[in-house]
Amino acid sequence: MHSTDVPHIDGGASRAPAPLRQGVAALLWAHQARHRRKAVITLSALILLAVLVIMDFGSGPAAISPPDLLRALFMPDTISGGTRVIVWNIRLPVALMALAVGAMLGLAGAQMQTILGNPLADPFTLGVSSSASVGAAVAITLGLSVVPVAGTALVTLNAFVFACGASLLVFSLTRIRGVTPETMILFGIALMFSANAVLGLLQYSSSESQLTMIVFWMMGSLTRASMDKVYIASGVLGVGVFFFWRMRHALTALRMGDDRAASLGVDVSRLRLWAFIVIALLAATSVAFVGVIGFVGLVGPHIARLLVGEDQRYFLPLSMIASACLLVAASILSRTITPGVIYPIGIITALIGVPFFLALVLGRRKVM
Amino acid sequence: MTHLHAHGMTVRYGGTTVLHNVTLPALQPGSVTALIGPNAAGKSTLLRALAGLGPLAAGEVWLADTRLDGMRRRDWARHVRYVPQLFGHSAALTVLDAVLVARLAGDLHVRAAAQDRTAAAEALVEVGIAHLAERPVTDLSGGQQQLVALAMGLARPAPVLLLDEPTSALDLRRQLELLNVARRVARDRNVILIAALHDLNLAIRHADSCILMYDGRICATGTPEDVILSAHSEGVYGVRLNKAETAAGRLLVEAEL
Repeated sequence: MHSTDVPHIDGGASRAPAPLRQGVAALLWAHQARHRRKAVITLSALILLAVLVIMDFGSGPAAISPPDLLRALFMPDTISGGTRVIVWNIRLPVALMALAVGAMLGLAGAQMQTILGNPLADPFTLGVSSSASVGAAVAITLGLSVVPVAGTALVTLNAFVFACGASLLVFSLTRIRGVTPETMILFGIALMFSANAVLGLLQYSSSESQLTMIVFWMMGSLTRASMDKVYIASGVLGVGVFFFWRMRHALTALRMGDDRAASLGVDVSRLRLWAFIVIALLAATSVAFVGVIGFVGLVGPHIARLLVGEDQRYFLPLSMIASACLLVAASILSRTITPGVIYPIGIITALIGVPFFLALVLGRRKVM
Repeated sequence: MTHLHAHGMTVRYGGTTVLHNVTLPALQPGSVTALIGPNAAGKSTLLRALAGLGPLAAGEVWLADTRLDGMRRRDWARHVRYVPQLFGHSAALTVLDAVLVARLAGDLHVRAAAQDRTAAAEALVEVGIAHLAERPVTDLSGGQQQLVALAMGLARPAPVLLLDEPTSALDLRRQLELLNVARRVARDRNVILIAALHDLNLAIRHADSCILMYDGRICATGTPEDVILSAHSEGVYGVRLNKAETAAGRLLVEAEL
């Protein structure tokens, strides 16, 4: 299908004269060396992430020795029931959730920055988190669910549905008005302000205990993690990775401008719309499960960009790894700053995120 | 022959018609055509319409027996390569990676194979910017970025190559070099090449044929000498053209208000 109707034109290496071929060989050698360096950076980040996840898994209010942790994981029958519950219902879901949500936020942030061509974009730029908060607040204050038979998952489901609905709204408005980054950002900002107003209204009319619940929900916390949620989050993450990895060259081309990407054969509007849907799915899932966790989706891609540039073959995985490292590290910190107290992780990421972000921007150099 | 022909092309932006029922003479493979005309004559619009980048209100674009309009974006791009005028972006990419992406971006999920890397490197050597391969694109001067843009156009061969003012940011030597590369590509790869040019002397020297545009219409076609010497060119540009002959017997024009 591809080239049958295209007159064949030889662009390969066959006709190149000897000096040309030597020049080409030298270029390719330097190119491969740089790519190996980028691969090493990505692999090192992955090892760091593994270490952090193990540390996260091993730390917590209950002192459990490493051998007991391993036994609880692999031979759950040989360990006391209390330890088993702590490991399987708390430690493992929290550690894996931090990993999955970090990767989701990193992926969503990286691609939001790519399709909007704006380094300030993050998964929540287009009002996803505000809308999710409205959904959660509606569930908390009014006991209203948009999904019947939601039961205990009411707040989570409401948050998810509202976040998706908000994205769909931005999506359809964008389709009417033309798919440019400007229209997307403008609609997103409008949506964010409206959602914040509705949220304020709900908070104003809620009781004291409901208000506490709303505020706590909005802070973002991993303590709501469970293995079921980990499975769902992993599934959504898998869909996102599959989609964006398939589009990696087109996404890299998009960073060179709409016109250029289009001239290279990328259907820019279509790509931007689909990417937007997948980003919304990633952001809605993470915000529904763990609340609003800021900065991770913004900073992770920045770190990746500084280290390996914007070639999606490295930018995409490293954005995910860097964001996951940040979130897992924040998760460890949230439990170790004050022994016995678990701070909401959203507060930690914002607190360490801001100075870290400033340091990154101020100390900006070209690494690539 | 696999010639390019297009007829009745009309392009509208909002309420204004920027291309009026334009019919292109059939262009042969291996030929270089200069597209000339004053600013806002519709040169870019015509090139973009041929590349499938602007919606055609009417008209058809054919490459031999293949109808291009109505094709999917990536199929059209496989037939016609368009090199936009200005580069200007902030992507953190090296030159070689940018050219490599130019080769791969039109396909879904392709792995960069050895032959893709080789083709990208060859495009850099061909354009004469091999020494820039590992530099970030954003660090380059305007002229260097223009050469990178051409290399991106060459990285994936297509039967038709459209260059939108490829020499606008280049110094004297590089202008000549770029047009030599363009000629060589057209001849060796049997490509139909159209370049929008502002410098009439470059058009005379490097093009086989010439298309003069004004106000969204084609007003003259033929050899560069004929078109530039025709009564149209002075009126269209609003200048007086003083003609002279070089020692080599080539036409030289000088514009005067």
